[in-house]
Amino acid sequence: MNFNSRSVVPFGESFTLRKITFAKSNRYQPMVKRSLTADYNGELQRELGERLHLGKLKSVASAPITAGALTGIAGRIIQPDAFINNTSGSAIPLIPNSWDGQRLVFNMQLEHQSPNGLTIYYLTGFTDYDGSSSTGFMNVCFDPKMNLRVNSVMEVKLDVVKNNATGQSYQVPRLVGCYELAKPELVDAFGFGDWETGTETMIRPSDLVMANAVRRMDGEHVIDDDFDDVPTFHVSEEPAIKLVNTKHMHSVGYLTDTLKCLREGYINQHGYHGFEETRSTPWFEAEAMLKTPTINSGNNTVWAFLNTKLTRGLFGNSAEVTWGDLLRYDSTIDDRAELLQSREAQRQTLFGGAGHMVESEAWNGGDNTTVIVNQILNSSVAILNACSLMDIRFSITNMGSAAGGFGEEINTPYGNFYFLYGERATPITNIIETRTLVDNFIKKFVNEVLLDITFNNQISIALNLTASINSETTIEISFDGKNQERFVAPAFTSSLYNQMVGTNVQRKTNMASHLHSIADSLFSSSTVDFTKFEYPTGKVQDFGTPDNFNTNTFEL
Amino acid sequence: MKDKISYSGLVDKLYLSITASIGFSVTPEGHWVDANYSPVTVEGRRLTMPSDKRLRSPDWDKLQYFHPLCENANRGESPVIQFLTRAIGFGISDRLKIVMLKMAEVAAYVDGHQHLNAKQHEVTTPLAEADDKFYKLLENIFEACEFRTENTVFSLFLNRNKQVGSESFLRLAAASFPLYNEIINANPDNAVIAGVSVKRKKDLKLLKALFEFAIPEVANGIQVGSNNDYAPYLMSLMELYYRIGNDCINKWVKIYKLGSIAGTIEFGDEYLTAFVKQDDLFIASLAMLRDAYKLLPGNDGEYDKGIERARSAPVADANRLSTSGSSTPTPIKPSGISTLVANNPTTATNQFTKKSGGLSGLDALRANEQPQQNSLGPWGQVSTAPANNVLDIFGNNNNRGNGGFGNSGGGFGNSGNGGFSL
Repeated sequence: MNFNSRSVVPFGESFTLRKITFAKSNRYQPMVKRSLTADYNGELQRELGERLHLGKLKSVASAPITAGALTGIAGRIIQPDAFINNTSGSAIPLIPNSWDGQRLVFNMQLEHQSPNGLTIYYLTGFTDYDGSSSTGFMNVCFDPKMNLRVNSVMEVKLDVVKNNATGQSYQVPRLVGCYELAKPELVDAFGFGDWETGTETMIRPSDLVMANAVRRMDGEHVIDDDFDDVPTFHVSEEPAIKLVNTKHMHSVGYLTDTLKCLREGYINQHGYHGFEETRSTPWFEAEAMLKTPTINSGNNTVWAFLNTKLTRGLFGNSAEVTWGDLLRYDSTIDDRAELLQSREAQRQTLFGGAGHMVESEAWNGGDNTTVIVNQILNSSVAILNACSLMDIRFSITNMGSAAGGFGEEINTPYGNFYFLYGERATPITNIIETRTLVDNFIKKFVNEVLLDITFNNQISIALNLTASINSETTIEISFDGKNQERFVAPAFTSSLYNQMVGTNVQRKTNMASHLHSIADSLFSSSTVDFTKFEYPTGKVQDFGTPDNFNTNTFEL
Repeated sequence: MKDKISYSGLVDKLYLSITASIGFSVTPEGHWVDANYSPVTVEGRRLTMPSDKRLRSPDWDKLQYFHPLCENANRGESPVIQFLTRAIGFGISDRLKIVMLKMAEVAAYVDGHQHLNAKQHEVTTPLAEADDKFYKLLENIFEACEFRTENTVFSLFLNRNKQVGSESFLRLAAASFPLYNEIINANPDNAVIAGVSVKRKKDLKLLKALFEFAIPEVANGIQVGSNNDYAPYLMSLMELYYRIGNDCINKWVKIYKLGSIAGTIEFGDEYLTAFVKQDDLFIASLAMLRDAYKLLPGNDGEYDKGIERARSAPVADANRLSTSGSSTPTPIKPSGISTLVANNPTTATNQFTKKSGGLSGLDALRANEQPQQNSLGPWGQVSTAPANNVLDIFGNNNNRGNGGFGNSGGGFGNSGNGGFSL
């Protein structure tokens, strides 16, 4: 037995199933897998340089790569692809019991007690079929064979805060992070049995940073002469569950983290100012800052619990837990399971549906509206999480009248948007007033999504949005003067059509080389050569190479 | 309501005028067709105009959407840009042949000189010694050299990050004249041009003089660079096309009244002119035009491997002509340019003499199927007969009212005698 301290469960470490809420779902049109793509042109390059103040700074290390600096531009660089891989119908993700089947959605609370404090995990997802049966008034049974597919896991930490005046301590919930459980599939898309083209890959920021890393190590860690093999070396592509941080589901979040990480790698590799030592594994170290967990990482994480304690190692392949698994772990969960049946309860919580076939435009289009709707769909998940909201309903437009239009004005540097709150929002933590969270959401949504989409408020948009993490997202949009259209997506299945699943390995290589060359053009041009010191007169004097500093040729 | 403009309409108009300038037309379904109503394919996919409606239910395997504005600064030539380069190069190449043959004919036919006007007469100075044999020789040479071979009349290539003199460009379109280079480098004693031996020394001089007269920039080639933010490939390509098409070819076509046979290149459209001449207002809205459609594969760079692989799937429906619905199969060649090449080289050049009013649609198609009597004009091999209501390969629009465009009035009055009239 290994007595390594990490593998021993510390005293007081425990997972508890707190509560699980089910509701019946509606039935939906098939969703479509659509991965991200990257665009770049001269204007974006110039604007990106300006936003990051490159050229004015002494070092790239101080460039403000923040969400604020990249609003209005990130969505034009990182965007959903118009193209979907529909060669053999593989664009439609597989879901048990088909997309128009009736199933349950669930919301499970898992409590993790550790010496560090209390953490609550909110697991949301869907079942393979409606395994509930009423055995009387308010008495519901669930089929032990019913599979619960976990779609996303939200981590809320309860910080213990002590009030010094009264001596009382109390818990403050804080949303730490949220992950979607995507599953790239081995899809033989073209009937050729070609591993490389027929396999989906992950295109998360960390994947892209690593994909081209070897190429940039200048022969340091040459694995294979054949470049095509390089990306496949680093990221193994077994069909296993990959965790996607929801903040990357949003162009701003994606680009911010990717650029930060690439900058780190760039500095690690080349050093800056000639002083910083270069690292031996610059890109591995850079990638570590993204901290993407895997299902198998750590012993006392929620992932390890789900994978080993609940499902005996199967969770890592399918992200599924049966109801029987839960009962086996804690048979009293049956008492704390609830099925929301009344329409009123559902209406209040915006959770679940009534088994209706939902009317929606098809999701497989390649036109602007469909792509933009995808952008809204995915960004809203990221922003909901960032604002600790479970769902929200509102209307917004940039077509105000002279009289002021409806609702409240949201000011941007490019003009106003008009916002009408739908009086529906569910906070994840109840520490902050809901209306404050809603205001945060709207501010972020306008600045980070709508400005991108409307080209800095130049194209008209009218949007009614009901966004949700664990239920359904309804987008009613009129874009660029077109008629209003209605798109409905089952948000509780969002990991099945996650944008971070690339259609093939080539997609990852392309996107990676693309982002690397963006980083190259950004960071190499702005690195100021420290050996050239500029006097106030504007005269440039060459002090020689950094080596000469140490050999006493540097004199003042 | 705020005034916000819809940009997808504007970009459609720009694309239609690009189509027309290259000499293709667009069916109501948005497919590109050539003079014979044959589908135009790029890498095995039918070239199709994007529209919101069409993209709502897209077919990425069988269709290639035309959106060359969405170039990616980090990637190379897209299949669509490559296709445009070939199509433009082919059109220019063919028209240059027609123009130069006409010049040789005019110069050689001394009896007719008295009927020439002043502009037309200019050619007789450099080609004073031209005769029937020179004309025959030129015909043979032009027959021998094909587009995109080493001795083509006109060759067109695109470059990345090139420097011309002190100026550096993101993208550079470069045109050269390989046949001319072959002529000036030929050994006068034993000259072989494009496989045709030139026995008389004066012919070589005449060839050189003819090229230099017809194409002022023949010695140095033409290079047009672009540093445009959005579509430097398309910009440099269309600018070069405009320069040689408008300044050289359209000039000669007008002077020698070759409208009916070579066809004026349609640069009349305001959108295309604004684009090519880099009109400030137009360039300012280019970002929005570009964004009217999202990145459509095949336009922003090379195909992804996965997409490329899908290409080998059979293209079943594309063999049918969507406009007619008839079952006349037009063979699809793997590359776009091969559909450009005339399928029917024996069709009449001056079919205008027997033009019988507006054949339209299916009739025109059937008429085109029948090999017509060839009256064997001197350049019969070079040009193809256009269907009556279609833009032919040279942008020669015989019956514009029936075509799909309302965007410009092509007009060239004199077509009564086909290519012979002066």
